[in-house]
Amino acid sequence: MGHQNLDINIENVTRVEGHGDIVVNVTNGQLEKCELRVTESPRFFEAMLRGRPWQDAVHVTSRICGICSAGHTTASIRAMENALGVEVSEQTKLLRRLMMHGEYLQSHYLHVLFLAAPDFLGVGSVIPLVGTHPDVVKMALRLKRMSNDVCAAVGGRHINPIALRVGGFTKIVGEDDLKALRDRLAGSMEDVTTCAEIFSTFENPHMERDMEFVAVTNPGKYEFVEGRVRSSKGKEVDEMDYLDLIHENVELHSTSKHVNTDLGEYMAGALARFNINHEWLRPESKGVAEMLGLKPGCMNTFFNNQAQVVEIVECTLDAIDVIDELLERGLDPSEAVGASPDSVDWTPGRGAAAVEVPRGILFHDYTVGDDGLITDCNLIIPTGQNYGSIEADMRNIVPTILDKPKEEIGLTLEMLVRAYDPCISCSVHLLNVEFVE
Amino acid sequence: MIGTAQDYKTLVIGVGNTLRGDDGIGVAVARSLADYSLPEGVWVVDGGTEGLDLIFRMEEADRVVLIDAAEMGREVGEAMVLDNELLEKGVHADFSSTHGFGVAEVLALGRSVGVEPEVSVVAIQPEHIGPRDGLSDSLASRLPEYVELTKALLEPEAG
Repeated sequence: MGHQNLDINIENVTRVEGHGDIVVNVTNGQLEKCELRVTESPRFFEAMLRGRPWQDAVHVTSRICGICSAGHTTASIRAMENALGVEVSEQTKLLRRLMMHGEYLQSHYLHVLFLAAPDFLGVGSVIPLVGTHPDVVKMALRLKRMSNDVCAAVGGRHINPIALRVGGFTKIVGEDDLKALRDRLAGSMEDVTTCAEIFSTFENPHMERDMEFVAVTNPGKYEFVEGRVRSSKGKEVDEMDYLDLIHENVELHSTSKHVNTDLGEYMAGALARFNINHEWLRPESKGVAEMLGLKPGCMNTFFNNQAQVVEIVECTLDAIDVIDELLERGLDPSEAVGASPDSVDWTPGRGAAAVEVPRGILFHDYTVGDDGLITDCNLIIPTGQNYGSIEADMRNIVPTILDKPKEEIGLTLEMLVRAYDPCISCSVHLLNVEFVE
Repeated sequence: MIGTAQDYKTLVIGVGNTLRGDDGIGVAVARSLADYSLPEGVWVVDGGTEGLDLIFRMEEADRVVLIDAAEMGREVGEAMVLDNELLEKGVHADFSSTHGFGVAEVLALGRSVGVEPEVSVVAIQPEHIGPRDGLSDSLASRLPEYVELTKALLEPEAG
C-alpha cells in the first residue's frame, strides 16, 4: 500500500545549474500537483538586443550561459549570417564544429562524471568519490581540462570565445596546436572507454511513456551544428521555419516559458539526438550504446546520461577526424577576418539558426533593419523546451513509486531532473563560513 | 600555448559574479590590483564565475590568494584572511549550494586530488548579494582597504 497523502517540496534541486524546486502533492491517492518550479528571475536578453547594432548580438548572447557559451556564440553567428546573407568558408565550418566538440566534451564530462555519477554510486556529491574512486575523479579532471583546451585553442578562451565573429575567425588556430590537441584526444580514448564501463554498471529507474523528441538532423552524419529540425513524430522543418514546429507558452508556476509542439511537450537533448540521428553514429559509438543498453526509440529519460556518454565517444572521434581534415587541407591563416566586423558585406533581413548544444536545440532568430539595428529577436534555450517533458515524466513516474519511502521518491525525482542536465543558469559563488569554537 | 604551466609562483584570483552585487567584491579587488606594481612571480586573474575550472589554475601555482565574498556572520565590510587551517575547519563543501562548484568545493576537491598549493582567502562579509550591477556603498568605500590587505599578503616576507 503506497502513500495516500504525500507532500514533497524540494527547494533548490542540487547538482544542476541554477534554481528550481520540485513540488509534488498527492491527496487521497490522487496526484494533484507535479511541478518543476523555476524561481529565477527572467533576464530579458531579447529586449536587451532590440535597438542594438547587429555586431553586438554575439557578444551579448554568449553571456547567457557559462557552460554553453560556444553554443550561443555559434547559434548567434549562424542566425546573423542567415539574416545578413553572409556565406562562410569550409575551413570556418570545420573550426566551428571542432570548437563545438570541445564544448560538448566539457559539458558532458561535467554532467556525467561530476553531477550525475554520485547518484548512482550512492553519495551526495563528487567529494566523497575521492575516497572511494580517486582514479575516476582524477580522470574526470583530466578530461575536463582537455576539453577546455580544445575550446581555448580554437575559440581563444575556454568559455565566452573571442575569436569568432560573423564571417569567420579573427585568429586561426596553429597547426602545432591542432596536432597537440589531436594527440590528447586520441590519448583520451582509454579514459572514454573507462567512462563508458562505469556507466554500464549503473541501473536506471524504470520509466516509459509515449514521448516526442526534437533534434537537428542532417542525413549522413550525426549532426550538431547545422541542419533541419525534426520531430520523432515525423514533422520536419527548415531551421528558418522552426516556429511552424514549436511554440512558447507561459505557465503560472514558472518564470521560464514552456515550449510545445502541436502534439504537446517534447524532449530535446542527447537522448533526442540519439533517437533521431542514431543511424549516422560511428560504429564505435553504436557499440558503446549497445554496451550501455541504450537502444534507438528509448523512451526512458534517465538514459539521457547514457546518451551523453555515447556522444562523448562520437565527439572525441569526430574531433580527431575534423583535425585530420583541417591538417590535410592545410590551414589558411590568411582567412582570418579583421577583429572589426565592419568589413562584412551585408543586407538587412531576418535569419534564424538551430544549433544543437549539449542540452538540446538552441534557437537564435534575429531581424536586422536597414540601419543595421536589431528590430526583433527570439531566443529559445534547450532547458526551456524540456520543462514540459520533465513534468510529464514526473506525473508518469510518481504513481508507480508511491509505495517507496518519501525520501526515495524525492531522490528519484531529483535524479530525473538531473538526467535532463538542466541549465537553469545562475552563478553566485558565495562562501559559507561557520567558525567552530 | 595549450595546457602548459605558466611561469608564476603566486596566483591572485578574484572570484565572484559582478552582476550580483557584493558577490563581485573579489573581482573588484583583482581589477584594482592592476594599477599596482606587484612582486615578480605574482599573477592576478579575474576568476569571475569559473567554478570548477579554478582548479586548473590552482594546480599551476605554488601559492594562491583567493579574494571572495564570504558569509561569515560578521559586520558588513569586515575582511579576514583565512589560511589553510582555518579553511579546512570553517569552509563547508557540502554542495548544499545549487551553484555547481563554488570556491569551497574547488578547495576541497583540490585537496583530495593533490592540488594543494598554499591557499589564503581574503574573505569579505557582504551586505547585499542578489541581482545588481555593482557593489554596495559599504563595500565600495572600503575597496582600497581590501586592496592593501591583499597586497600585504604578496610581499616576499608574507609568502
